[in-house]
Amino acid sequence: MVGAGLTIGSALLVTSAFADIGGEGGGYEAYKTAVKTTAAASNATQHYVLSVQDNGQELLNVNGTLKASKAARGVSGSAEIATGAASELLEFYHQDGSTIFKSGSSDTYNVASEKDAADRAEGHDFDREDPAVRQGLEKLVDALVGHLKNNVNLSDGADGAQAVDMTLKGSQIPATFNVIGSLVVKEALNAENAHQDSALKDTGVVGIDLSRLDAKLPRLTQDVNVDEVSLHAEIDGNHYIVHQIVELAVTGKDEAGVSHRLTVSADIDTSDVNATTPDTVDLTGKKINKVEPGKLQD
Amino acid sequence: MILPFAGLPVVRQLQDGLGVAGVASDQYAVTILNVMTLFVLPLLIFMTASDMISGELGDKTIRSVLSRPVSRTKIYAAKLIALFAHTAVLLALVFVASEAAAFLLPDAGHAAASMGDAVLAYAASALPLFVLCTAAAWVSLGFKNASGALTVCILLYAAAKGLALVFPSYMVFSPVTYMNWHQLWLGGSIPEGRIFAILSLLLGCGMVFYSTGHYFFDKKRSVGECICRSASGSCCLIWRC
Repeated sequence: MVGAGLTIGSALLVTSAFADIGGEGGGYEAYKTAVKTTAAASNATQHYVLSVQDNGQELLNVNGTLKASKAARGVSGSAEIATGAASELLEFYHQDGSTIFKSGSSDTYNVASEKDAADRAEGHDFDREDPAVRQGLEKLVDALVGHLKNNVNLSDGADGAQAVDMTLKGSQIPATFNVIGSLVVKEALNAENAHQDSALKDTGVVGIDLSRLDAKLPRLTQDVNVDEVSLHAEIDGNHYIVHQIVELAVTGKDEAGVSHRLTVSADIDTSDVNATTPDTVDLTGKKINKVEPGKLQD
Repeated sequence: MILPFAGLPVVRQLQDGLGVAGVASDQYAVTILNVMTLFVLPLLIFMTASDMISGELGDKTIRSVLSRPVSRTKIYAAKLIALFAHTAVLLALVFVASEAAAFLLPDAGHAAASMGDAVLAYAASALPLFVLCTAAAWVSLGFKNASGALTVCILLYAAAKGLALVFPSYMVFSPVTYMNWHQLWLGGSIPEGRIFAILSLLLGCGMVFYSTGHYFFDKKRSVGECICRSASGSCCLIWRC
């Protein structure tokens, strides 16, 4: 009896070791490595789709591409912003220390030039980061993630490719995260609405009539709750994240007591890692509108 | 029973003061379970186990049981079954109380909808608690007074929890690390591989604690010496102090 119990018990313990119980957070570690590797890439092209839905109805959709190169200190891209019926195409470039915006509906290039080199250096100093601070931050994030590591699933594909999945629902989201997240979302929505309500609709800065794109996000005031957080990432053999989908669902009620379920999703495809050159635009002979850089930051 | 209700004012304050749900009514029962499995239920298990084993060894009331024509195997099994049942009843009480409390929160309709999930979480949380019962019984066998066993149980548990924070990679083999494994059973994607690994670890630990505990209990001489055994030899008829 004792012998049998001990034998079966020990066998089960060994089984758990072989079932990779020590692999806690395997998916989390793989994802962390991939994030670091991808962030360290000197250039890449991203195709992204951002979408905000309220009770299943799409309020805002942003669809575009982004080419960025750290070495060349250049960025170029386009975004098509659609809110219900209205839509607007926006092109943007960052080249030779100036930021250029162009609306699809006009042929004027809005140029914001950074005044001096010091300003430029301050804004684009990607590499000067203290490694100790970085390591400390990493430890902090690890500690905060804690047991949630268990919820990150890792599946291996061909040629060293990996897929990472995580879905946290309701009570799986730690109460602290939920309270802080709900507060952030609530304040963000209120700030957004306050901005829309104010008379300060400065449409001239980037040459786009933003008021036309009023997304009419609901103002949630009661029972704001982060309902679901999900992440799907595909990692290639070189530890670059090639495809990533992040979704966040928030529920709550507006002032009239109507229930809303807001879902925010981002679908990002990354390609041409270390083989991307941002597009540049030749401004000679084009219509140019000079913009104060300070004004752009507001 | 009272604890689930004690959390209500905190949640209400969050909702009225900040307008965030904090803990929505449909998540309330599981949130209470998280707190309960972390320290309240383990503490209650340690108290019962130390009383049931160390206490009885100490005041020698265990002899009245040992002198009956029942084998020690059955006595040890009966003690653990009683401990399991006690734990299960505690869990059931906490479940009923926290669901009742959840209905006092706004949007109580959601609480009913998520009750299936809550039942699953409470049922899953019983396993690590049962393993803790076998471990507490195992520790209690080494003591002759209940308070000593209780203190050591609490210290060992706190140490295991503390070490898991400092050396997470070494403590994956500690069953105490998985007190909140019920969270794995909720939500969209159930990580089968992890659940299987943790299940076999917990079952394995439980069996090893039970078998070795049973062995120690069977061989224990400290309760007195037997001078006359029954014909089958399984129980003692006359004890010498």
